[in-house]
Amino acid sequence: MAAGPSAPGSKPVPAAKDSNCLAGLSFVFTGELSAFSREEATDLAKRFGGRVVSQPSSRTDYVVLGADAGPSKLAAIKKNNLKTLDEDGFLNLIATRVPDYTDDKLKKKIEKEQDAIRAAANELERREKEIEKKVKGKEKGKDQISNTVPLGSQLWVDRYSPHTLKEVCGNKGQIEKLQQWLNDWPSSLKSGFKKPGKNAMNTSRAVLITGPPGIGKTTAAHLCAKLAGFTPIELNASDARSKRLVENSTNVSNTSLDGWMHGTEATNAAGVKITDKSCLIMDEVDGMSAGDRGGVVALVALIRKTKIPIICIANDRGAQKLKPLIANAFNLPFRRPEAAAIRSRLLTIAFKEKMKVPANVIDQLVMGAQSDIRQVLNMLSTWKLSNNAIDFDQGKDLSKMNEKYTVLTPFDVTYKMLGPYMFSATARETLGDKMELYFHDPSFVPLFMQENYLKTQPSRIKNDAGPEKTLKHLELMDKAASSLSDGDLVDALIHGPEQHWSLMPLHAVCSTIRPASFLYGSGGGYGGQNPMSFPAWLGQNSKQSKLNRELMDMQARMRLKVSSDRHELRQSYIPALFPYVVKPLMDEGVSAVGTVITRMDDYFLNRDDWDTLVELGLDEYKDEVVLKKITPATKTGLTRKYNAADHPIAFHKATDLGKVPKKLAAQGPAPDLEEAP
Amino acid sequence: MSLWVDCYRPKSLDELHYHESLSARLRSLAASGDFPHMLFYGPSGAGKKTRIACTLKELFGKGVEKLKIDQRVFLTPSRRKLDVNVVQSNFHLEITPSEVGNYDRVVIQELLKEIAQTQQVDINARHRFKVVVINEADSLTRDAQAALRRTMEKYMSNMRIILCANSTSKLIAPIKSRCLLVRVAAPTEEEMVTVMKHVASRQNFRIEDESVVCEIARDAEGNLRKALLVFEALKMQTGSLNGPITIAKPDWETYCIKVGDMITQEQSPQRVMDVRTKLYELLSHCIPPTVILKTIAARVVEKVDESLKADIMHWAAVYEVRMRVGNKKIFHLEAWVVKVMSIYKHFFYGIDMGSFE
Amino acid sequence: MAFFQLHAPKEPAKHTIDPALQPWVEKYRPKTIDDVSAQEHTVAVLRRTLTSTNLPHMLFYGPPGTGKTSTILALARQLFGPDNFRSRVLELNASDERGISIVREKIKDFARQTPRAQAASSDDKTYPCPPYKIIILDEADSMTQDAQAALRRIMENYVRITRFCLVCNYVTRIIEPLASRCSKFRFKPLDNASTSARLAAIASAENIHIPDSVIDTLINTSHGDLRRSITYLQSASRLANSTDPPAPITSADIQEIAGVVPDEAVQNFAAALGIEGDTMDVDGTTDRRKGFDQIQRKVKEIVREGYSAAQLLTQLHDLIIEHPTLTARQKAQSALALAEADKALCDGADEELQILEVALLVNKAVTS
Repeated sequence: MAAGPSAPGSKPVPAAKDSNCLAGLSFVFTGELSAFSREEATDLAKRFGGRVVSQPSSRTDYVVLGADAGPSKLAAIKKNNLKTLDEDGFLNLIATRVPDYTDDKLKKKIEKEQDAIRAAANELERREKEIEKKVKGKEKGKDQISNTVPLGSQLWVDRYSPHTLKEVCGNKGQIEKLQQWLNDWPSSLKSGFKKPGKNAMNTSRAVLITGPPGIGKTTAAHLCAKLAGFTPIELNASDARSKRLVENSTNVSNTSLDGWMHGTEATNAAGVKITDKSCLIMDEVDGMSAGDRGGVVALVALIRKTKIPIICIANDRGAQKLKPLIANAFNLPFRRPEAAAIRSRLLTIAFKEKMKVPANVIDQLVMGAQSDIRQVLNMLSTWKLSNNAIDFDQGKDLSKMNEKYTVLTPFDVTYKMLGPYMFSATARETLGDKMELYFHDPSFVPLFMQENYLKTQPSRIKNDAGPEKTLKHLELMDKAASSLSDGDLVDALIHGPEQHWSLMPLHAVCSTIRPASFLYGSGGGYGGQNPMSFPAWLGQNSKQSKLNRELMDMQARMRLKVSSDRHELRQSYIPALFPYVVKPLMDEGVSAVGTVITRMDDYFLNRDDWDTLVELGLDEYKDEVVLKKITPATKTGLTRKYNAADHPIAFHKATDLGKVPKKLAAQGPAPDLEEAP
Repeated sequence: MSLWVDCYRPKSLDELHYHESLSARLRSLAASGDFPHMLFYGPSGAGKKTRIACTLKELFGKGVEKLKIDQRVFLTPSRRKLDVNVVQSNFHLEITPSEVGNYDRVVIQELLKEIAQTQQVDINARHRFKVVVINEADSLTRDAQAALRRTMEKYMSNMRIILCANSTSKLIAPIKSRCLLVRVAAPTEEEMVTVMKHVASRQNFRIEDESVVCEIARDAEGNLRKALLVFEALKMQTGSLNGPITIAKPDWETYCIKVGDMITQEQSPQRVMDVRTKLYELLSHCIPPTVILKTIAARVVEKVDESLKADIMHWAAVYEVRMRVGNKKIFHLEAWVVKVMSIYKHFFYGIDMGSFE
Repeated sequence: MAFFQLHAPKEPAKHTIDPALQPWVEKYRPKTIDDVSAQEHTVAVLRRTLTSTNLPHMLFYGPPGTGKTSTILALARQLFGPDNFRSRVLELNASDERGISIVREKIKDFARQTPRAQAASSDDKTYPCPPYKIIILDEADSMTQDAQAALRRIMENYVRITRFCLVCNYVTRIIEPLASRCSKFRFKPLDNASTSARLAAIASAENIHIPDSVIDTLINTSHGDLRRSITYLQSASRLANSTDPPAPITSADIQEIAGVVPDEAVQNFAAALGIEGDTMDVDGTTDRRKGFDQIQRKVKEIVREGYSAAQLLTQLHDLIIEHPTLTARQKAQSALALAEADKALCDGADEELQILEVALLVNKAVTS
């Protein structure tokens, strides 16, 4: 499997003839190159204007082949008769190729793109001027203090927010649906939400838009509402939205037309005027948090009765508190728009702002921001402060700087750590980066490592075979295991009485990074026979403490008779008692119950202790094995007979004192057996 | 009917079967007015607690046999509630502070202070002091030991402390120097045979085949409790105790032996994971990790070549300490297992390849 | 319970202790610094401070039982006399809470009190009673780093009215800033002559007869720790007196009380590891190499005897180091094994495994 290039950095990247030398070409990379990692190679292709796709197709221009190329890709190459390049060929291409600007198709395509951008930019320009004029006119006419800010000082995000539906990037279908629903609203209201309509949406009084941040959910909702002739009323996380407030402020539930009927400008608690053409937009409903108790429930109640459309917006559809809402509103999931969809919009804006931003840089930024338009715009506007142009590498740095920080689950971290790439020779992750991974969840990651470190086929020994491989593998395992053991010692210092928190990085290295550095490789999360699993330690540990507690109780009860501590009790007494208190039930069934109970009374054991005793067994005394041999009738017989009589009790637990004790604590070492038939 | 080991436990110093000079010394100490703090130490099953009980009886008379158990609740500084079982008579009481783990200092301080400030009410009592028996004293934390040290000096007038421990290594020097050390060595095999014969006579049967009893004694390795339990189990199984016998090992020991065999049969990642499952099983069923390690190591050492034995035990010693210091025992147990596998495999191939060349 | 508390005096121990039961260590604690055994240099310096009544901050260090605490207590007593002692001296040791909170509260509060006026002495003697208080921190090396750090400023701020005396075993465990504020006094282990003189004095005061051989054993088992030898002596005499008629004290008694492994057992064990007695033959190296099973059996045997592993290893160490024929290399390797085992035992390791570990390594070392 991919273990990284064998000679990283051995070949320099040639100086390209043209900075856009690969323009118009699409590449597929397969296999492992010798001097570059996959990531570096794709970066190269992109930097020089090429397109990189993952699967070869008939439209692929070149396939760059490395060692161990994937068989399916090779098949596709054959099928489509694609041109292939090796590493040197690829570099050569960069060094020599000059894009064919004379190619009509390409030329036209570029021109067309540019025209479209220019046109859109002009349109923007025109609109802005109009607004400006309007503002000026207003100021002159009414001499009113306007709260509109001059466009130049507006944030780009506001300034270039879409004004028409066409300008909203991506999610076209969903937006259309939303619009349709709003247009149909009056008729749906009249019909009492009985007719499903074209999109089966008209039975809902509300919609719930979900999707990641910055993809234009709020913008789309506002635009749609305006276009359908509604006045949007927005309530967002900055407004308090507890149950009472939701009920009062929106006032929609009883008489939405109150204000309108009275003729005065009735405003609700939130200070927003309500008319019959209002549309309530509840933004950030997943932000209805602890302070907004009952908010979601009240919102649902509101939805059931509302006479105006309600649009709810949230980020995380899976959130627990949105459950009731999902059931009561039509769900419109918004997806991240494709980079291509955003590209033209961003290019237009860049053009308008007179920035020189190549298309491949935009792609890079969009990808880095995970299609969050808002983020890219903010990035660009910040960049604009110092620079008017941006090239590929700068773009990469910029997007890296603004990288979204996501918390990985311990599963993900373990996959990454033990996977074949993290430690391969071309991996760019520094020790710090690896530690960063550990800090995603420092309490769980080490446990996951310990659970899964043996499940890989280590890359370090992939070139060995036979006994040597086995021996090397065992050696690596040994090193990893002893490092894990070191890690636990460090952990004991961190969580010990002195709490040396400064040792956390050392713990990261010992418990996670070092073991992974020995055994990384395919397998485990990468298609091996043993899938990664959740650490068994947690379950086992709680089982151990439970049994330990029960054993201690048992020892306390037996104390009047037995001098041993609880370890001796477990190791010598329980095996010795077994033939007397459990075995008879296995062999003789119900008839043995009497003798068993007598024996239990001797040692002040109660019915629960009997269970503990069985549960503590191992091997042939293991509880599953034993219980299988005891018939249910025998067991119930034991329970019934035990409960039927009084038994000597060594002492009462402090917690039991609430109950009326059946009998006084037995005095003296010898219990009175006559009282316990 | 209790097990023989409990039935025939000696109740007074005169009934003890071995360490006569120690018994005599204890008797004279109890008779003199000047009873010191004491520290009983020796291996498990040697008869420390039996001797403590006998000494107490010698001190206070039959009254100490009237035992009752009290559950006391203590509050930690962090306001957590601790339940502690206290076994007591009118003259003494007995605690096992290790039950509450790291909070043992609180229990020691509170309980001892309370006892020290009460006077003996029983006018017929032979001594003005009460005795506090502290079990598993070697697992007391440093803090608790420091607290104890002060208390031992301060409250000498109406309290005596008897510590019971398997070893004195973990006790701080000031405590040892404040106590009279009493070493209770494990009984020899002959002594154990004597005890078993005594039990047999009380039980009204004769031991016909002495070799069986000797075998039991040898197997018990100085643990009289174990010897008696095995003795009774065998008698129950075979009835006559004659002829060749096999001493059944307790469940956990057989299990450990199986694990040991797993290690020597195959050395692979998969096998390590299988062993891990078994180790978890042992740990969760309350077998102390040290016992697991020692039992498995003993089995592995039996099976391997002489030249590997020292190495395997060396690593067992290394990882055993690590288990004590660390939190997650399984990490260290597993590290040892992997180490042993690696050593074993290297040796295995070392021979193989050597013979080919 | 409440009933008893009414009658129980606040500190019952103080009043009811029977002089016969009092530990001899307390009973025979030096009353003046001139009584302190075998620390001539320190005593000479301190005597001068008695006349000038000016005392620096002090740091006493040295092995246990060499008279550190006794010296400072005697000095304080001589400075202030019994009547002012309580108000002028604060003594804290490891069994008292000494976390950072105590340093910040109790110690600081005491340190900043203005010393009370000298009370009239009741025993017609005049004491220098200088105008400062003394805070004695016994076993200061067991204080946490944080607590020690908190002490730094307190020592400086209140130096006019408060002097500190830190007492510890290991000077390296005292943080540098604290150590540099104190004048250091090293206490040497007691030489045999002073120990035996002291023991003989106590024996005659207690009216017991002890032969010289017993005194030798006492000295050997206590390694210059006077407190230990006095404690052993008291235990031994208690044992001896408990029989009727009182039995004489023997060396074996002392060894048993001290928890020392009998010499014979140690030599026997050493022989099993391939260390012969003094008359070891030089050429027989090969057959001294013992099999694993043989060593394991021997280890099990000695564990069954119940000796303390730490003690056994200490004695084995002495035997190896003082051995006449082993080479330096062999001794060094053995010492290394012993040192590691000692650390492991401190961490609570299993005794049997550690003894076995040492046995195997020593056997390897001495037969290689």
